[in-house]
Amino acid sequence: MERIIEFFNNFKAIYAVEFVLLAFAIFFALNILRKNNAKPILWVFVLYTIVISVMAFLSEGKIPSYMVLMFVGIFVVAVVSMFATEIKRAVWESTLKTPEAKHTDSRSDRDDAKVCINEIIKAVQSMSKNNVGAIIILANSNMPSAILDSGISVNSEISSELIESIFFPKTPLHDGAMIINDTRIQAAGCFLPLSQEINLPKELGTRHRAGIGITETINVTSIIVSEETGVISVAHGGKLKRYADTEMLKNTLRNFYWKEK
Amino acid sequence: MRKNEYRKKSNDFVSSLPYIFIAIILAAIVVIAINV
Repeated sequence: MERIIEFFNNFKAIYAVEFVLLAFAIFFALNILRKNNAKPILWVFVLYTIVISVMAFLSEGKIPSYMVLMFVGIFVVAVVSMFATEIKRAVWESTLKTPEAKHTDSRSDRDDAKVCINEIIKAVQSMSKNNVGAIIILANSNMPSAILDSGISVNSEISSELIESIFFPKTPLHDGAMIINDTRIQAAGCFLPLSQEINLPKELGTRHRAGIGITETINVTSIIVSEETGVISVAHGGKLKRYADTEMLKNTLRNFYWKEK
Repeated sequence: MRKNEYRKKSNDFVSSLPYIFIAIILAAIVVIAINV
């Protein structure tokens, strides 16, 4: 007790700096655990920090302070590496403008967007009807060049005929993803990172995994048409919504082109 | 829409308050433990 009173009597500015930095680091780790429903690990972290601190206190300086900081640091690093994908997504979301925020102004932009929405819906529904597999990524200049370079640059206006032709089976580009940037088809046949989520339904194949995987790390939306069932799915933020109807597709595309409520 | 976003952000902040509190307590414990 005397040692604690002495600590407060000889309080130095460096202690306040240590406190603020540590509080931020601990809150950062706790927040990741909280958002990922990892509450048991959260309580282990809290207990672990308290035990290490009490041990350091009782050892009366025999456990050096850098050791204590190192032990707490190890846990923070462990949490960060466990949830690397989630952190990547959070950073993307906080630093990038969302695609929804882009088009709100001119009339001609809106007319262009309406045409694009109709063309995409027409193509997706036709492919769904004919059981043609497809994966379309709605991105706004936020697609990494590594992904764009893995496919073929198209840079063309959006038309349902072109989309259907690209995904027509046995054509060279049908197997990869199509990237739509704004009102143009930027690239096709692109390779995407696959989702490592283990709880996805077994009937979802590689195409769905790719569609979800890209939305886990980058703020984009994917529209996926299943080759086996023709079911249309929409993925955003690592979450997949299956059995998308016209209304859901329209809402997804409206959210991409502008926010309309 | 903006109202909803504002509400969502304020809900986020309120739900993270207990964790801010825990982080402050833990940081204080560690700082005291390493400096006494």
